[in-house]
Amino acid sequence: MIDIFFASLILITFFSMSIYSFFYEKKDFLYLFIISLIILPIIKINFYASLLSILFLLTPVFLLKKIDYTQLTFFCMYGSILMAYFLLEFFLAYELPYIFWIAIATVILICVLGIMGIFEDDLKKYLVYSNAIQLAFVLLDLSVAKIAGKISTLGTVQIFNYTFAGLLLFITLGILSEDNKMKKISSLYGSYYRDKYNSIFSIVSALSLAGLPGLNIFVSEWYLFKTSFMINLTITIFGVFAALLLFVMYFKIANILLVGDGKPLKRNIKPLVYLNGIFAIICVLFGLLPQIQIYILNMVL
Amino acid sequence: MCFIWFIATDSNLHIKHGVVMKEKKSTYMGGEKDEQRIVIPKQIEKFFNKRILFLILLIILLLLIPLLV
Repeated sequence: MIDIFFASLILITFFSMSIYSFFYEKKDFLYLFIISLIILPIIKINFYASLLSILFLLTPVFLLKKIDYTQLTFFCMYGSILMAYFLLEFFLAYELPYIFWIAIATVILICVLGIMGIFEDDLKKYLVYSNAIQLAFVLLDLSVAKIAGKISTLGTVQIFNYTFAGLLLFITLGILSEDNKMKKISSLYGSYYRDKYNSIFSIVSALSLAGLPGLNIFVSEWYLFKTSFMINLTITIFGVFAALLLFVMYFKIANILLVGDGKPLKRNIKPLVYLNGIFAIICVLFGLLPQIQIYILNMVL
Repeated sequence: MCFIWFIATDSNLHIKHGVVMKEKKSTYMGGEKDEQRIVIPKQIEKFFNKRILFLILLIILLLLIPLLV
């Protein structure tokens, strides 16, 4: 069931990125298709093969200027999903020493990346920081679940929610920045007056990633902090500080999109608006009715 | 802080029926004169900068060492 769950997440990413690349970077569709074909069997063969995701995660770090926006998106998203799959299988299969210290180091890393993200104006770098933070949350969830003695919902909840909210953020910011033609976040000011729907969806995803109650990522953070509170206060205290930093980091997107002068209206690409709308509804629905996602996730493990 | 900043940096253009009529003088709450279309306004960045945040993180770490050991 775990294989099917992660394969579904990859297919959701493939489907949504295909639509995006069809309208913005047609040549990337071929790369996307080949990479998806390689990835899907990997999940079935052996979970160690999913360590390949390190390559996906490191590519945007070292070749940030060479890859385009669509490639950045699918390297980050595929890398995160595959790495989450590897970590889940690894934590299920082995007993790890120093797991508490791994959790502490991870939550401090989230704080450091959050501080870097707050002051980052380059859109691509900001998204790489955001992706790294969410992946660190996956590791933190698994560490805390392992210390608590049961990996059930906590093992999958973060990556499940991040797939929807993360994809929504990548796609909407891609549309608003015209496929990264506007390279700075600050150049997106006043986008709400140019492209209302995509800006609203982008704000929904940013606030969801910030962990605002009522949106889907809050559910995973709630489970994480509830469990960590019972283990050791330190993780919870650092976690609350990290949540505060992340709120500032992601709220800057909401702020910059809403503030600014009137600009000429932009013609919307309807299929992408519908796709973003569906993702935004999922983020709100899973946030307001967490029972739905808990029901889905309980079937996985 | 972000909320105040949001109010303070509201549109400085007078817009009627989607047409820019005239540019009004900026009325930022803190009396800032610098460009406000930036991610972190300079007035805030003076206090709320990377160094201070890292310092706070270090202080939290030092305070929590007794709980860790």
